[in-house]
Amino acid sequence: MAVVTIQIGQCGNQIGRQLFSTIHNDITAKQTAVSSSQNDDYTSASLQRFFRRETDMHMPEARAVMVDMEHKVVTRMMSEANKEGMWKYGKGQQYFKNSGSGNNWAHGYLVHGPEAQESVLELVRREAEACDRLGGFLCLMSLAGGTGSGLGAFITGCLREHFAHAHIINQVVAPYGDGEVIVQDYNTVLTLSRLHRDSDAVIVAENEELHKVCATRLAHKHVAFSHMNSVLAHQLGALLQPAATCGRACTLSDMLEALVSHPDYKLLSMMHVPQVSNASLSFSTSTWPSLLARLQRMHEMHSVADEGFSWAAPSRNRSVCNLLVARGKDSSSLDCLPLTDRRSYVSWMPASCTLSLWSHPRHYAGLERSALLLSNSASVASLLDRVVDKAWGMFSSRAYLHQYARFGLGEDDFVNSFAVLEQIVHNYKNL
Amino acid sequence: MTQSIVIQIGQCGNQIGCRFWDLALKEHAANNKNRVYDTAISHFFRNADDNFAGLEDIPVGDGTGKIHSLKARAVLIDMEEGVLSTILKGPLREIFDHKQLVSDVSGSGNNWAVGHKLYGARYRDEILDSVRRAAEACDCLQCFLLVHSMGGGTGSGLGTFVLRLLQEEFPEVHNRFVTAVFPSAADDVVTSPYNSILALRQLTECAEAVIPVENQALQEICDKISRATTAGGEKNSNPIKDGSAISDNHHNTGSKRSEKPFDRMNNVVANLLLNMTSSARFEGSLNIDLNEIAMNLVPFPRMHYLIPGMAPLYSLSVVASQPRRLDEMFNDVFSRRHQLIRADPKQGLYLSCALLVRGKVQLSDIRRNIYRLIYIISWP
Repeated sequence: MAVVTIQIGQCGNQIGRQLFSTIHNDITAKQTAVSSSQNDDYTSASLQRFFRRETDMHMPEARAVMVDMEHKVVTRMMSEANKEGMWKYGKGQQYFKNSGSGNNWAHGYLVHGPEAQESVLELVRREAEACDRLGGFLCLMSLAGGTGSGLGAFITGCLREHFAHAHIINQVVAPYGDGEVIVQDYNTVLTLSRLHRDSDAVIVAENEELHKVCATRLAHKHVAFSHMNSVLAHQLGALLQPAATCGRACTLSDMLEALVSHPDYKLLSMMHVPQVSNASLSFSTSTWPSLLARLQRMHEMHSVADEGFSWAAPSRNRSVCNLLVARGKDSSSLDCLPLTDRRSYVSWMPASCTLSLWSHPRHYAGLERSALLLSNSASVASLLDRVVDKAWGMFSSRAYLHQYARFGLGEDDFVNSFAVLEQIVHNYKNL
Repeated sequence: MTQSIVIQIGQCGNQIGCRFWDLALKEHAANNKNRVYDTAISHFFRNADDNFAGLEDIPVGDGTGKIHSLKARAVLIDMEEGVLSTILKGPLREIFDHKQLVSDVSGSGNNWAVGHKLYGARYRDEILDSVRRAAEACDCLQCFLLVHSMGGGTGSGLGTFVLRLLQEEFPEVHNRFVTAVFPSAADDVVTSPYNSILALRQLTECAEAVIPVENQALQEICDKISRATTAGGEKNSNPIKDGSAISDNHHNTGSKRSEKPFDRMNNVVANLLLNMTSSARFEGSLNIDLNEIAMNLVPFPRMHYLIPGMAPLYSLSVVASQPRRLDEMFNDVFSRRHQLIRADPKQGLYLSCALLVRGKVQLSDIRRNIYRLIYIISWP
């Protein structure tokens, strides 16, 4: 199974590069605590999934398409990959222009989108044809800017049109609540309304949560975007690296089957334990019960960071369904009873489908035991509520609308997008 | 890889422009030790091959070509000869192409109508030609930066005529940024209030964003800097680092060039323009270019007057006083004394605000300061 990654915008490209580095480091890790044949199976499956190479002599090339409206970030990511010298981006798999999107969703979606359509689809087609078995597409983008959000939403729509049977998963990054970009709430509403229609699953990561992880658990004195990107890449890697369930290998369709069983509930959130800095890695040990207990608490408290929540407060979260990916010794015989508590799931979900377990005995990224929870639950509701409130506040005074109208996005489009988002928030709040 | 064209009109505009090009060259020289023509420098300069009579342009290519002869992407307009001829005789004469100049002899007599109606009609085609030539030399033209004063005749009259002309002839380049120098109370031009009002109407209708600058405020900033340099009669124990003040010429050589009266104030405005476009030229972890500045700061089309504030004004030589300097810098940029017009930002209501941070500042420092400052400012 192969996954084609499409990195869109500054955020998407930075995360993508980090993701491929993390995966490659995991592949070439030494301490894996499994037999060498198991290790070889794992590494070849993983290489096949994310990279392609002509022979064993060549450097692996990432199965990725890089899209941006200005060239600075794309060229920088390529040179960073080359500097690392372990893998590289395929030549010619980049699409960039000169002008940028100016944080304007309408510019990205209505102007750059149609312009870029032909070329980007051609690049994606080339990557897809180089795969033996295409597992699906992973789109990395942000919600605040113009290119990531606008062009990203357009490209997702194109992929859905042209690859009608392929699985499309979007990893989106929501900006800090108090602002990176003033019109970020508009851009978020417009993007999510399109993605909800076109994508199969949308994994939402928040800059604020990632910042908390870096500042508290990983104890970075000065948190920079590169730290946050590596946390997110770390989580994505834990999700997408080879794993097995009930004796057979897991694919993206297994993930979608496990998590997105109802078309109204497509927004997912990711939590990963343990969160330790490299310095403390050799001093920490963990057992499965403690990891799972922490994960459960984080899930109940909507916290991506493994710290700063109360252990005594009642649970505030209800889920549609969850996926647990456990990596490390004895992961297949895990006792996930605490996570299958019937009360924290919706009543219309049969008990056998509430929690799926994937596992692999190999250590991931140097961690003896690690667990990732990908959940389809009401955690996203509070973020969306905030965003929609702020956006509606701006919309009712008609602020910034002329900037969007300039590229052809009228008030009706806004109202429709608001309606879609309100419906999503309503659905999740009433789980 | 975008380009901007600078259009300087009138005496004030051309003098500021002159300082701007000087500082731009110095900034790029400091960053570009190998003398290659890369994308950063292509934002404001063309690389012209002067072996050919027609001044063929050399494109950036892969960014490693040598610089042959830099030509500024600028159009210089003035209706009297004094300022332009000084520029053409001065050290910057080589970067201006004589086809980029539009001039007349007699001047506008501080009369907006003469500048706008009379000279506008007479020089419309010539100005359009120069701008079109500069625009054709650009791969991807992002914005026009106009610089002129509001009190005079040429700057305000002809300047706003050019603005209207750009709106009509180049509608797809909707980024028209105007740096308008408003007259101070003690201005020597009697008709400056009339000229300013007439020009203000044009600015409200045609410009994308206007950055007003006031002479009085600039004067106060320069006074503050010179007080810091010469504090007290004895030796100053913490003098300013040489060349770090925003009103400085960045001269490293020993010889002192005679300084013209408005030079220090013009340097401040030139630094403002450079800092605004720096993210479009150089790369960073969170890039923002002029498109985004306009998009985020202008919520309603006619409310596009952006108040500029800069901090720090200078940096001290003794590094030990740096630690709290960073937080102080964020405080300062909202304070009355650091704005380029005489206004107290804290007294007013903010519609939107952008912080452009340049240099070695960590994301966490910025976030910490934003959390703090959000409560000090009043939002609707």
